[in-house]
Amino acid sequence: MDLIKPYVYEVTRRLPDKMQDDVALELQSTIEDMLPEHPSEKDVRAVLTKLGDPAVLARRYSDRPSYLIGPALYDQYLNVLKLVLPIIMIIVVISVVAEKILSFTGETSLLSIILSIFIQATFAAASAGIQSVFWITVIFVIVERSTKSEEEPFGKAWTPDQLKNKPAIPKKRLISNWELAGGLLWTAVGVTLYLNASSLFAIYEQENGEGLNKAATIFNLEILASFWPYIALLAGSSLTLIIYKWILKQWTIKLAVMNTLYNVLWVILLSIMISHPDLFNPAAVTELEGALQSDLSNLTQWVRLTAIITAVVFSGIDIFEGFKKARKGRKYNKLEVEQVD
Amino acid sequence: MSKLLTSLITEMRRGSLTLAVLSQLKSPQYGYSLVQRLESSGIVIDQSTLYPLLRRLEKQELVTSTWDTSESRPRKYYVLSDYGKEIFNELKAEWERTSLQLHNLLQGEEKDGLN
Repeated sequence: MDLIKPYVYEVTRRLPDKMQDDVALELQSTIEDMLPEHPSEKDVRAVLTKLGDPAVLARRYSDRPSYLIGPALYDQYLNVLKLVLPIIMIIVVISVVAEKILSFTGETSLLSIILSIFIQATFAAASAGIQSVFWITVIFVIVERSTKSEEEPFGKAWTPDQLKNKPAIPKKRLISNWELAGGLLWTAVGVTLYLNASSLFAIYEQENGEGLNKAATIFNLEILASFWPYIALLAGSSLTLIIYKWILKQWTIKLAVMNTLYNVLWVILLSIMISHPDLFNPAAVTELEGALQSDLSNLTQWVRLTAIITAVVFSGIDIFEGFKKARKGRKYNKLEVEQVD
Repeated sequence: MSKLLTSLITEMRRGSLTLAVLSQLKSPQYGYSLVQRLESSGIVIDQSTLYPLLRRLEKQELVTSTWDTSESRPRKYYVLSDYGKEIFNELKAEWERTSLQLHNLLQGEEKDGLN
């Protein structure tokens, strides 16, 4: 059984066309050189074992690296992924949520719309994420293959000057892009819910099997509309806080104080809005009372109280977290200050 | 021999391989004759490393190659180019410097051990 020809073929088929014949001829004659006269199959096997795995040999012949993204680019690759992925996914989620809410006509129940938003947003975020990873990888592979090994990728060699714009922030205090995006999403959802309250929060009735018909909005729309300065103030201060966080990049005591002010403002304004005596549409209350056959005046009080307590609890946690993060890593900072002094 | 030691030795030898190969190419050699020459000096070279290395040296214009088809089997001969000779001499000088420096370091360490 001839083993030499298949071995040579196994090596050369992995090589670029232009070097195949030459390598084949050289390999063939080398193997024959290594063999004694009138070789047995055992001799051939010994020689081929010495030459080793044809795939390994072929890889050594070819100049192409056997990796997609080399060590020189790998860190930059990870950084770009970490920067781009959250942004893209958040944009996709926001646009799905906004589109769903804006196109809400009241033909389906609130629960099913929330469920479908959740499912669609998850899928959209996942597919956008996969797409981004794929295209970023493709771009990096192209850069990897097109830069010669001596060249520094992206042109510049490292100098200490590059440290200027990179303050050392302890990881525990760092404000992640996720945190910023979360805040943005929360604000966007809040404002959208407010603007579309007339269709989102309403009682629907089935009318002779001809689909759902809006019987009454839950909130008193005039009162709700009069709240717009509060909502604008909240959205504005929330955006200001997010921008401030984005500039600061880390939690500080000052930021924690600002965060506290924002949370206090939010709880106060929410309490004012929710405890407005005419917040709920009397028609809706009557409608519900009729449907449930019970007195709901207690229920609306209960709803108000729950909303305020929930807001207080969550704001309290957020305030506490802010201070906790701001205090983290202060030991390191103290050291730094001492060194500077 | 431990795996770590083997890999450290391989790594250490890898750098010297080019120099060893270049040193034997003042006269034309084909692959297997080169292997034999190196092995007779005690330098064991992985064959799957040598042939690709020769090709790379050729691409870097340190060696030139010719096919000799006059004998029973065709052989590819490699020989140093002028540029290759130049580089070889520089590498050789550098190797001698390094080995002297290392020798001094290792000697010094032995003396330290004695004191």
